[in-house]
Amino acid sequence: MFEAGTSNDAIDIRICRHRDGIKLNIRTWPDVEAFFQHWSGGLQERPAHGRLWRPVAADGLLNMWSMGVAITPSALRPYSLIHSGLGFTVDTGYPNISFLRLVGVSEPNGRDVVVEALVGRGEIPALAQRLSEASQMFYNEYLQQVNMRAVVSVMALPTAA
Amino acid sequence: MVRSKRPKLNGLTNRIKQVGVELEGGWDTPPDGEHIERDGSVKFVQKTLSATFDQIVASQLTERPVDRPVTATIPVPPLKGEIVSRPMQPSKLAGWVAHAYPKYVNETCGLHVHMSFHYRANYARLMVPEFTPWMVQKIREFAEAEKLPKDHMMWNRLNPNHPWTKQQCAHLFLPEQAKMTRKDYDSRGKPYSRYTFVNYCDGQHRTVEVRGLAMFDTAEVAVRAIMAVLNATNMFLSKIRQRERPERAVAKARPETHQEFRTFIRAA
Repeated sequence: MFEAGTSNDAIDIRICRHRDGIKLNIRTWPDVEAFFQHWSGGLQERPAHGRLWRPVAADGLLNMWSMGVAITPSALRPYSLIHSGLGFTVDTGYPNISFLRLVGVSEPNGRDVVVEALVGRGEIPALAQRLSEASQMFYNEYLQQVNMRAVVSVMALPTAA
Repeated sequence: MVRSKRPKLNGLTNRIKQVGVELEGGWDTPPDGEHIERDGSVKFVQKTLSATFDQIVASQLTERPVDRPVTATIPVPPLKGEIVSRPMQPSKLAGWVAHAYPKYVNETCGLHVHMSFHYRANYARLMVPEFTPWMVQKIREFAEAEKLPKDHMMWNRLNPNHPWTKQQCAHLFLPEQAKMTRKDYDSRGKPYSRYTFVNYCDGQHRTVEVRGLAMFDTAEVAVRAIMAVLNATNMFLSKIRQRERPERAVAKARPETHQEFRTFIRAA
């Protein structure tokens, strides 16, 4: 997917203050949304873990690709993809990036969502840093192309003279 | 000039949705429709009156029904604790405070003001270190305008080094308070201690609580003190002019990586 001379922002999240909390505009490459679509088996759902998310438009809907596999947060995977509807941090302290599962994030305008979380004035840069690190970890672990080759050679011993 | 259509409170643009008040003190009987809750911080030196029935009837405790023994012993005040209001519009404050105000107050009694907001952004704008000293300064100006006696407890609460202040309403900014979802009476000294002059109890009540006011001798002064808190909050929100810059969080893709692992085994 990476092509020289083009933007290599596979995940781009724009964060700004909204009167009801924090507004996110999420845009991703098609392979990011394809990843979630594949593991959802085509099933969609609404945010299920909390009630802090709402669409920007009053009559909008928030649909997400279901999480068919158990990618739970842990010390080796210090971010959450499953706590949809919650704030930016889950109980264990890991950043919550489950909004990447929103349907339509790979469209040109991405998807907008307002998270009704309390983020103090001046804390948005720190929030952006956390979400950036978490998104990068997710991308490196599940989507970054890595080619590995394992070669086992048989070495013949020299015969005795 | 375009005039703002936002509602006004005391001449200021009002961004406060509702207000709740906690009154601590002592009562002879509960005010109609109100419930006196227990509050361990409210302490009165218990007095008792021992006298004949006729003498007690002639005393100040005429509101309290007394059976007709020869003598009676009655604690003063009979009831102590706090009365918590329901959330209400600021315009209804004066009437409720006058109705529920305690008859007995002393230096251990506090007046707590809870404020909720129409928009989360306004709550977030108050979660800055500058808000607490701003509120302290505005309440100090109120106390000076009221010409409170020098020995009034309010002055001690405005002094960050006073032992009572350090224990009950420390002049600290602790944003971790907003994450607490229940009261923790053992939180003193912790990063989420609720015993600060301004307590961000968003997780429990979705309000900002100003705990620094003392109780006053009359309900009228208390109402003016509460209005000073509301005005200070609205003024602080009106002062904010600089918009926060949007931020970006990105995850970058890298070119494909190639890794090769080789191992050798000996032929048999």
